[in-house]
Amino acid sequence: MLFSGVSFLFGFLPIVLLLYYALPKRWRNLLLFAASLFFYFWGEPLYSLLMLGSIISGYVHGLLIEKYRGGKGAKIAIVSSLVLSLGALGVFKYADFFVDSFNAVFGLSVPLLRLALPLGISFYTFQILSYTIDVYRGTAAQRDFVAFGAYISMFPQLVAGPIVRYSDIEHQLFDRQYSMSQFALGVRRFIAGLSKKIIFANTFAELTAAVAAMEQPDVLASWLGAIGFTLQIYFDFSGYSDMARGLGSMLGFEFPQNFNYPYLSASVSEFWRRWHMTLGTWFRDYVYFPLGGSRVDSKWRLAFNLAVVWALTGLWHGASWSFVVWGVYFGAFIIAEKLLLGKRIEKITKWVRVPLTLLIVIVGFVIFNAPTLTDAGQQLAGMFAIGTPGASERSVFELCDYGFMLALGILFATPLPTALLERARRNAVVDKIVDIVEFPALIIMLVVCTAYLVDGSFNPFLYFRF
Amino acid sequence: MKKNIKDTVTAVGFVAVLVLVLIINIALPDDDVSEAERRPLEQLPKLEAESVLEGDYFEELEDYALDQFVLRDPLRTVKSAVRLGVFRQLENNDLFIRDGGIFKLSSQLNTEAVSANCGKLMAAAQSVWPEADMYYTIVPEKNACLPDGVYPGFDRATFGQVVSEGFAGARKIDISDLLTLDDYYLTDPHWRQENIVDVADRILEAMGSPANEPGSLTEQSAIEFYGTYHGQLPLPVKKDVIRYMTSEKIDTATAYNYETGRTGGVYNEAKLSAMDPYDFYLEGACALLRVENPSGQEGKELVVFRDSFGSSIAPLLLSDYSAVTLVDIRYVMASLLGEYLTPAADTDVLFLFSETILNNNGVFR
Repeated sequence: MLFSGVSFLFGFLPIVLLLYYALPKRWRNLLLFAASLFFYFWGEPLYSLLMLGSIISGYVHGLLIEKYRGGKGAKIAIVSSLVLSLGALGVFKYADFFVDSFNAVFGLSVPLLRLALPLGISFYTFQILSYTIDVYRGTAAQRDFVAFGAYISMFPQLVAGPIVRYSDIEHQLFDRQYSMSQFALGVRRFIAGLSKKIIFANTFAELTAAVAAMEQPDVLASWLGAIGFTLQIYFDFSGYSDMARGLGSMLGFEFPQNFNYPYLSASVSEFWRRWHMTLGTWFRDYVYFPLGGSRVDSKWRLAFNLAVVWALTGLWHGASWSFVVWGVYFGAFIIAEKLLLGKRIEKITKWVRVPLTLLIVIVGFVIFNAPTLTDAGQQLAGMFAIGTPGASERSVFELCDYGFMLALGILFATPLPTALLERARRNAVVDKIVDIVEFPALIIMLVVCTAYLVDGSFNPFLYFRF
Repeated sequence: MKKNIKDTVTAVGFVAVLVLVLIINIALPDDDVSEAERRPLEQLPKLEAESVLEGDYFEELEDYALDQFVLRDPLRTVKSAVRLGVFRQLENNDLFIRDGGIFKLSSQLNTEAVSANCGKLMAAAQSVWPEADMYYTIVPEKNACLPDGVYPGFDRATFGQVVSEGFAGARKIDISDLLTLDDYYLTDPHWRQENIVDVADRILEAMGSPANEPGSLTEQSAIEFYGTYHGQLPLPVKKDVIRYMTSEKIDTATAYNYETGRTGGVYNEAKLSAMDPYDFYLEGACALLRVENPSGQEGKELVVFRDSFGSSIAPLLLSDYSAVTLVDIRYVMASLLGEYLTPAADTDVLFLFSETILNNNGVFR
């Protein structure tokens, strides 16, 4: 099930919300757990057992670590938890990647497992890992299995994050504050996120697909594809995060922010502090700091630590060398910023740094999105006019077709609209008007999103009864 | 206090809207077909353990929910209007409006598909009618009549070259100069029968057969309708009208449908109230159809390998043929033609196809 589907919007969600607020507070975690399991079962019937098994494993290991805290038993338990969690992730997500690479290097033909990737496995595995590691480091284990299960499986953030640390949510599991203003905030965030996903991300996905379908994209088409995908992935991912936070607010939870206008970053390091923030802090706290972080004696060691983190970050996103290269690509820039430029980077004007960072990010996303590194190379060659014509009738048409949406997308990828609205609201009359029109505007956005969803299901017989 | 009221309205209103839509969707009976989209709609899937465990059930349930969503057609109009009007896009579902008509974006030329399709057609024809005189004519998509502008065109020059090579041995009959925008429906990709008598006459004369006699054809009106394109871009545009030509020849002709085994007239009035009124002409999509012309010359026949454009022009091609056989190898395997059809002493074979069909992979069996 997806948030951006009518079954969720007009089926699952209203039923869960009604039941949630009809039940006494002590039953709400159970409802949340059951609803989340059903939500997952809807999308992955068989793999819901895997997730349940992972939850049980995380819960039991947390208790064992606490029971044997300070002793060998705790160490065995944490290692066991890591092996099981990472093992499941390794088998389902990375086994074929490693087998394929092994075969390529050694000329063998070991058969691939061809296992389907369980939905959300990267997210819930990292949440379980962060829990057991935090318990090992001293956090009290959660004894209530239902509360723990609700935390790991919570449907708002199960499929696409944000990665919620146990410490962020521990007190909220039993002591949630409910208010109309929090619920209303959740509604606003949810509808904003839904609009980002359906109206913007899905539209830019069409543009990206149109360029990918061209036999020989010219320079203009290559740039449209690259910028289109850069905007698509931002609105898709941040849209989902907004929906997740919105749903969390409706249920009484406060989830961490995951995106903070990343395309305004003035350095690659800053970009990764604004993009998928919860993933960045996870790797920082559970990989970078244990390796020594930046508090190491040699620059080589620092570079090594960063390289490991970024290679793993790339690999987390997908099981292919393209993703590893993508991660290492960003890692290289971050290493250069930290080791070669240092504080001198701030002397370069932001008017140069921001566009340059954005260019680096766009090129990075070309690598991220390409099916293979060869395809990435071809698209980059197209972008930088290596052996390709400037424009064609088709690419000019795509620019005219998507130009206004691209402009809107760029605008809404900045805080400018929100800032302008806040400034306008300082006027009492404008403030009152906004108060009045806000709810109708939200419903209009919901209607438009629903209209896009409904029309998107129309798959006409290709030749229209020719 | 004011903020509390606003937040309460937002919170309660949002849930109320979701619940209301849920109740309405459950309460309303399901529709079997969408007249606007010309297709059957998904029905509630059967709950079976296997389909649940494989995940198919939930996918089908989502498709069902989308197809049966309340106010589906108005919502699709909203989407078209927002996409084109608010977000200034030039097309929706690859369709656009120009000069009051709805058009589909031209595809990019697929030379492999064109070549393969022409080859299949020639092979099919030569397997049954190796001695026949062969001709081909291409129906340009109505975009061809638009002045050059924003919308990307179709590479007709290269297409024509590939078709000519594919139909080597068949004589080309060029009809493109006879067609203008007025000869096509506003909301459908097809041409209007009442406006293509000159096209039919040119084809007949090129094949050495007499054209329709001036004054022999009478124009009749049937119904107003919205064509196929309107189903995909449901914005307010003028309706089209099905008009058809009658003559003594057409009125006495009969059409035998090999699939159903039934014989009827050239025009099927029952189809005017069906999903696609264009099927009024010779029953629409049909594998094999034989139109008998009592006033035709014994032993002289015309075989038309065609797509749906052939349905409306075939009645105008009766001429002095004793029979016009319409063959659509999208619906019948070419290798089976010899089992159903026998060559006549004097047969002309005409390939009549639109650019769109020839340009697509895997259309012919």
